[in-house]
Parts: sequence; C-alpha cells; structure tokens
Amino acid sequence: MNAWAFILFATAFSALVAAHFAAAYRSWHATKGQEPSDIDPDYVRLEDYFARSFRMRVSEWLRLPVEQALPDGTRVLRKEGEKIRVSAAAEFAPYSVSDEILAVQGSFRAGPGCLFRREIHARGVARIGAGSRLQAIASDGDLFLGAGTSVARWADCSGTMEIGPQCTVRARATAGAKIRLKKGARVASAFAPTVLTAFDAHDPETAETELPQPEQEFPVPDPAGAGRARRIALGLDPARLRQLGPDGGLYQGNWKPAAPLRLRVKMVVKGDCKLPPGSLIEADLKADGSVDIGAGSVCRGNVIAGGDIRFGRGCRFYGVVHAGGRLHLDTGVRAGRPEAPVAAYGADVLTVDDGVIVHGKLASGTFVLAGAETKKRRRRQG
Amino acid sequence: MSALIIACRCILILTIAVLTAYALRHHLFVLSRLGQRKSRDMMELVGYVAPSVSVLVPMHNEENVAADVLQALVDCDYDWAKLEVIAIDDRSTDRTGEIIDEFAARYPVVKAIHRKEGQGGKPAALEFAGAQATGEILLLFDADYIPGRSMIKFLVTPFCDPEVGAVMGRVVPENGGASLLAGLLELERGAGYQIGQQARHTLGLTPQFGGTVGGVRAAVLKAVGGWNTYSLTEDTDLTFRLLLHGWKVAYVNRAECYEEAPETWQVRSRQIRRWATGHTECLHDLWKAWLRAKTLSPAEKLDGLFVLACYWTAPILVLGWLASLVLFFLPQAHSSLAFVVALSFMGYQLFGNQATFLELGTAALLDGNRRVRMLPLSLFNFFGSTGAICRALLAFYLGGLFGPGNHHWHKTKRYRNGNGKNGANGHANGNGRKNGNGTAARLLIRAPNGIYLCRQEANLT
Amino acid sequence: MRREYIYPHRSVRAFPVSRLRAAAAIVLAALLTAGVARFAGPLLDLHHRITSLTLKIAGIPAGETTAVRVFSYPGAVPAASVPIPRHGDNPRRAPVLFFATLAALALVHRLVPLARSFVLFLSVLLCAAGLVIIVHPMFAFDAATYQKIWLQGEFLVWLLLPWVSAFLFVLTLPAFFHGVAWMLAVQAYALFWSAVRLAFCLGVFHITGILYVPLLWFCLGVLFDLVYLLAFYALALGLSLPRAVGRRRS
Repeated sequence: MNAWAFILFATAFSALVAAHFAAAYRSWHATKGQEPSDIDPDYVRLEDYFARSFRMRVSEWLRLPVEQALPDGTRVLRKEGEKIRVSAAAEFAPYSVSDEILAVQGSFRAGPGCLFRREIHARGVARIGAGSRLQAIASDGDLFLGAGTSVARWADCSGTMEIGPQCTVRARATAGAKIRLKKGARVASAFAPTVLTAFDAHDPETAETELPQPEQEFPVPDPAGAGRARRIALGLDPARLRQLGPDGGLYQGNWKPAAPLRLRVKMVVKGDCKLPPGSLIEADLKADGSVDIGAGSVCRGNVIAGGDIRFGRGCRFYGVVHAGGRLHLDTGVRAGRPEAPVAAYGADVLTVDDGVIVHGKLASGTFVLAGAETKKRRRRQG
Repeated sequence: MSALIIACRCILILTIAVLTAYALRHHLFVLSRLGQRKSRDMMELVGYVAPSVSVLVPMHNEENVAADVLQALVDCDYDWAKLEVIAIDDRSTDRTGEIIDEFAARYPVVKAIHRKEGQGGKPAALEFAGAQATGEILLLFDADYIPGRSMIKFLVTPFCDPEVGAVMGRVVPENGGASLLAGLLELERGAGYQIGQQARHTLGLTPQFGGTVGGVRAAVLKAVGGWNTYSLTEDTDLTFRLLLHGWKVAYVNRAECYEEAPETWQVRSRQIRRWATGHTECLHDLWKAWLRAKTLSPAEKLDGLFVLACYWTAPILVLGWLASLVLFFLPQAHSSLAFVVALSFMGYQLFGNQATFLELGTAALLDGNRRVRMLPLSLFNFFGSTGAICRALLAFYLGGLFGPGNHHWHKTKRYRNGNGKNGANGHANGNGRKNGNGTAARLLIRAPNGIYLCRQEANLT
Repeated sequence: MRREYIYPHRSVRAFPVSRLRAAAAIVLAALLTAGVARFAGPLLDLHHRITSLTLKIAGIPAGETTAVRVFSYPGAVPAASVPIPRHGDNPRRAPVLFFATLAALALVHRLVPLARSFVLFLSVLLCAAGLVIIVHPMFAFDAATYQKIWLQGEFLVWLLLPWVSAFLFVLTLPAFFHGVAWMLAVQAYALFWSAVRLAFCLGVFHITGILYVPLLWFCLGVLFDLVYLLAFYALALGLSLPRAVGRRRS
C-alpha cells in the first residue's frame, strides 16, 4: 500500500465531499445580514392601485429633461431605455403603432387596429378604435374601448368606462363612476361604484323592488307545532341537520326546499342547495356543491359555494359572493348599494346577463364575461 | 437470533411505511401548490368583509418589541369604529406595562390590560383578555410580529364563509440573515406555509391555526370551550377542537407577517421540544374523538392524523435506523432481498426524506428566496430537530410513566430592540418596515376613521 | 408585452404542471429506469472499473477481481478484492482509533451546537462497531460482503433516482430542457460518485479494519446520495430563480 497516495486521495476525497456543501456555505455568507424575503408592510389594497401608481409616476416623469421638442408642442422625454411622449391632445390614425409611453394632456383618440406597446395616460376623454391592442390605459375622463379591443393589463378611468363588444381587458378594469359592459366583453375583474351590462343602447333601471315575503321560514318558530307538510316543504331531514355554533346550522346532503323560504340563520349545506324563487336569505349561506338562488330572491348575507352559483332573474344580493366554480348573474340581478359595495367572485368564469347592475366588484379566476359563454369556449376551458 | 431479525425487520417495515406515507403526502402537496387552482382563493373579496375585530397581543416582558407591534397594528388599514387592539401585560416585570399604557393613552383604539397574577403561559393570558374583547373576530399576534397594513383585512376576509371558524396567515422570518440556523429556518417556514398550509387549504384538508397571525370567531371559541390553558400548543389544540365541532380553518397565504426565528440552537431546541410535546399531548387527548368524528371526511381525518403524529416520525426514524444497524451486523439477515431494500430505503430516507426537501426547494422557488442554495445544510438542521424531538418525546412518555409532567411555558427569546420608530435600533433592516418613501406611502393618506385613501391626483405639469 | 410577474407581492402564484410536461417526465423516468435495468451488467462493470482505477490511484492494493451476486437478474458482477484486517491482527489499533475518533467527535460536539445530533449519530455508529469488536473479536466483514451490500443499495438508488429527479428537476424547474439536463447529470454522477466513495471506504477499511464500516456505510453510503441530490437540486434552483421570478422593473 502506498500511504502517501492514500493520504493525497483522502484529502482530495474530503475536498470533494466538502464541495457538496461549499455552494451552500458560500450562499449563507453571501446572504448573511441581508434583508428578509420581500414583504411590503406598507401595502394597502386598492382596487385601482396600478392605475393610481402609474399616474403618480407619470407626474414624476414629466420633470425629466426633454430629449426632443417638436414644432407642434409635443415633447419627448427619455426614461432609461424608454421614451415618453407628452402632447396636448393625441389622435392616432388607423393601424398606427407606438412604442412610447404616452402622456396626453387632453383627449386621446386612436383609430381602429392600432397597437400601443406602452402605457397611456390621458387627462381627457379616451376613445380607442375597434380591434386595437394596448398595454394599459388610464384616463382622467371617460374611456371608450371599441369592439374587439384588447388591453394586455389594466384599464382605468375617472368617469365612465364603456368596454365594447368582444373587448378583452386581461387585468383589472376600474372606473370612478361607471363601467358599462357590452355583449361579449371580457375582463379579469371590474370595479366601479356601478358596474352594469347594457347589451343594447340603454342602461338598465336601478329602482329596487320590495323584499319578498315567503310564508315559511327556517328555523321554524315553533318546531313542535310544525306539521309534516311544512317539514316536507322545508326539504330538511331532521336527522341530517345539526347546530353549528350559536347562530348556524349544518346540513348533510342536498337541500332543495319546495316552497320559497326565509332563512334566518347561517347555513352550511354539505351538498347542493337550490332555493325556490322568492326566497329571502338573511344570513350567510354556504354549500359544498352548487347554489342556485331562484328568481326574485334576496340575499342579505354572504353566499359561498364550492361549486357553481347561479342567481336567477331579478335576484338581489347585498353580501359577498364566492363561487369555487362558475358564477352566473341572470338578467336583472342587482347587487350591493352605492354606499355599501359588494364583491362577487367566480373561480371559473363569471357570466353576466343583460341588465345587471352591481355596485362594487365583479372578479373571476379566469374572466368576467358579459353574455353567455359559448359551448366552444366552454369546451376549450374544460 | 431469528426473533431479533424478525423484530428488526418489522421495525424497518413500519419505518419505511411511515416515511413513505409522509413522502407521498409531501409530493401531493407540492403538486397541488404548483398547479394551484384559485377555487379557494378569497383575495378578491378583501376589503368587502368588515366584521368587528379585537386584536389580542399577549406580552410577558416584551419591552424590546412591544412598541413595534402596537404601532404596526395602529397603522393597519381598518375602520377604527370596528377595531380594538387589546395589549395584555401578562405579569411583566419590565417596562411592558408602561409602554402599553402610553399607546392606550395616545390611541383610543388601543386598550391596555394588566394581569398581575394567575396561571402562567400564553393561553391563560388569552383566556383572561378574551373575556373582555368585544369583537366578533379575535385576531392574535405575538409581540415579536410586525403585521403589515393590510393584515387585518386579509385575515378577516375568509370569515365571510359561515363554516370557517379560524383563519391563519403566513409567518416569514425577518432575521434569516442573522445566523445559519435562522437562514435554514427561513427555508423551513417557507415550506411549511407556502407549500404545506396552502396545499392543505386548497385540497380541503386541515390547515392549522398557529396561534399568531391568525384569528378565531369569538362565539365559536366560546362554543368549543375556550383556550386550553394547560396545553403547550394551545393553537393545535384549538385547531382540532374546532374541526371536531364542524368548523373549518382557512389559510391566507398573502397575509404575510414578519416574525423572529430562533437564532441559536439552544432556543430552537426549546421551541421544537415544546411543539413536539404539545402536539403529542393533543394526539393522545383527541385521537379517539378524531377517528369517530362525523363532521370530517376520511381525507381530513387522515391528514389530521398526519399532522398530530408528525413528531412521532423522529423516534420512528431513529428506531428504524437502530434496527438497520443491528441487521447490518447480522450475516444471517444479508441474504434476503427484503433486507437490502429495507436497508437501502432506510438510508435514503434517513433524517428527512427528499420529499421534505422538495417542499423546501419549491417554496424557495415560488418565493424567489436566494437562500435556496443553503438547502444541503438543512440536513444538519433535520439531524438536530430529530434529536431534540426524540429527547422531548422520551421525557414526555417517561414522565407519563412516573406521574404528570411538569410543563413549563418557555417564551421564545426576542432578538430585536425596536423602538417603534421604523426600526432604528433593530436588525439589518430594522423591523422590516420601509421608511415611508415607497409608492404606497406617497399615494395614500389616512382618513380619521383609520382607513387609507388615495391622495388627490398630483398636478401634471 | 412586458410584465412577467405580479407585484407588489413577489411570490409567484403558481407554476402549473402541464399534462404534457408530466407525461414527458414520466416517460423520461421510465426510460431511464428501464435503461438502468436493461444495462445493469455493463453499468456495474463500469462502476467496478472506476472503483478499481480509484483504488489504484489511491495506492490501495486490490487483488484478483472477485464476483459478487448483486441480484439474481444481473447475476455475478466483478468486485475488488481488498484485504480487510481482522481485529486479532493488531489488537491495539481499534481502541486507539476508537478513542481518538471519539475525542474528535466530542470536540465537534462542543464547538458546533447545530451539529450535535449528527455527532451523536456518528458516535452511536462508532460505538456499535466497537461493541461488536469487543463482543465478537473474530467478526469479519470482508470486502466482497461490503461491496455486495453497497452495490445492492446503489443499484436500487439508480433505479429510483429517475423518478425522484423527475419530480425535483423536470416538474418543478421552469425550463423543461434544463430539468432534463439536470436529471441526466444527476444519474451519471450517481454512478461515478458511488464508485469513488466505495473506493474510499475500501481504502479506509484496508487500513483500519472494521471499526469504521457502519459509520462509513451510513454516512457515505446511501445517505450521501441524498446529499449530492440536494446539492444538485439547490444549484438548479439557484440558477432558475431569475427566470422563475421575473425581472423587476427598476
């Protein structure tokens, strides 16, 4: 045996073993004392955060030195690798292409088929022609997106936003006054004091109807006196119903009352829940499966489902709605109040029929669609 | 001799079965997290759910950190008409009492409670203060945490679901750069929350309420009997009692809060021994009711058992290793294929199987954590944890043989010396707060009711 | 168009694993495993040749090649014949080494709190071997037996490794082809590094006898497969981070 050879080999071997930990050890030294994982403790959730943040940064960029001043008053500023074009008003001919951030001090108009690869800020009204493509846009006035327009990120305006037929906004659409969705419009989420669908020229009526007055209620005021017929109408098997906390119940199985119902307590249904038209839900309702709220019903509490949720024609809801599957708002649904906005979310598609008014937010894990989902699109998604 | 071989092989089979079961679970969690569906994500509802909230902050000799957490809570974005912050001076002998009195005098939303006597430990303090809370929702923060402004809104949102009884946020160590151990724990916490808790929430299993950066419905807490003041892990105990009564626990990954991870092995060892003992106590107290519960699905029951028994894997691992050591020296055992497979699998799974590291790595990737390259050093952390857990369980079971154990609540050591002024005296980045120059700070102003609003748009010139 | 991630929160929401990628990972793992099984004989032969070459470089005498039966399928495979001394040949060697090693471990135990449990683990292994030597001084653990156990364990690792690598690299890394490259690299490294480790172990046994047999088996054996796997994984993740998180706009 050659002792020196083995000693050398053992040293090299030990070095190789240590090498397996060397990168780890170096990484520890490189990150010693460094800041922790990046949480922004000052973060406050605002629906139109991106747009407001963009406006603030535009106001800072306007102080940058002018790279080029044009005879018509337009200025071009440079921000690192990007250019910012500042103009009084702007009008782009059809099929124009722009690679600059646009800061327009007045109205903004773009013809059909334009392509804007950077963000746009307009202090006046902004009109985007059909079939155009944008990065993101913020308008201090009204915003009109022509048919088939595609916005890669967010769209925001201080006034009324009209999202034309077959338009797509891939992130948030936010407005200071109103968002009007035309048929086929798709957004990731829409937030405004009023979000409505108006497939023809007219906005839907906002007047509220009276509350429904269903005859039966749950819990039954006098359980001992409740007859068999009433228990059948309630659709509850007492053996599968138990109390959940001081103000709630849990039901194992599907729940489908036969007659309109006034629900006075929180209810958790471990199955599907289908409430007849004209029901009044005064507390939170949850189903592991799907929830179907019959036409003309009113929900004062929150509605949560692991599966789909459907609000029938003319329903009203005043709490949050969260569907683990699809959410559908039928014609004439009303949600929230201007002084108490609500949010409705569908993890899958959220479809909104004509004549729906929501005070607050519509959001989806895929998209909010004004109008019905086509079978082709559903097959593609499924 | 053959009896010894058979016994060792049985132990090996048990060890491999247990480790494989946990490994499959970890793989499932990673797959679930990677391809996370948004079906249980309630982030879009944040701000639309606003119940009345009482925030409880128990403090025992927390003069170093008390001001930071109270200032952070006062700065939270929530309507003050619906908020109260209850700072609990729990038999402190330092300036904690004075500090909370100062905050109570300055901010009407802060209430100071002084507890001079009574049973020691956090659960007893919570029980004491909870009786005086008026909110529908009780949120809990330990004194060394620094909640962000949106924290309360994030945490209360899942309570829109009537089945949710408790909510848990995510803790992120802020002192990962302070020591090697803290850096490794940062990776470990990342896996536990970003992968483990999130996957359990997404899959409808049993996310755990961790006793801090979380909340519980006040009425529900009362209905299930309040805090177990004798438990070392009152959070685990409450989680399982809630689930047994039919309530669910929701997890909010975006509700991130800085915490201080142990920086020395001595502190970490004490912490993990407490957790191991507390978990195992819960297992013994609740396993029968858990298996019989009609409110839980089979998947929930199985996952719950995995959670409660997770600290048993350490002694099982050690037993398996000892059994394989015995077999190693017995030539009679070498001939069978089963032995070889068992021995090899045992070695491969030794001290933390690769699935655990898969969770660590995936979490680091999702978080963009540059300390991911420290992963191989986690092996030493796992060795250490295994040893500490075995020691704790040995004391637990041996103590049980000779009489009731003497549980003493050890408070985890604090390292920060914050002064409530955005971390002038703290660690490398103070208490983690930026110094008010960020976009959010410039964009927002605070209304008198505590809610943050946007400033008027600046003039564009 | 730009924007690759969602701010202000840096955590990436999800990396959905497409069915195509999952299928590709499964197919790759199956192919690699089948390849290892099909070419077991040549692979073990290559392993032996690397071990023999390493022993030669290390100055350890390896006599005539012997054959060991790893599993019934590849049959007999070559193994190095390295003489391992018995305790009786030099009764003082084992106690000296034992106490010296124990002293070194005690020092590490004192100086490095984080490594205490690992040191305890090594101490138990050392004491177990010591106990065997005391109780049964004629106990012999020849090189052939050791290599048989080693090769059986490693061969199982080579079969299992593609599936573990598929998960660690192919499914989780953002770039598919990077994941495949890492998977193949780890598989190749497994064979090479196993041979080198085996040579080191045999060399140590040739000098010291059986005292370090369990310690080296448990530390440098299959456990070390986990170590290099983690090292590769950490490296792969570290290199993938910029792509995963996206570039932040300044």
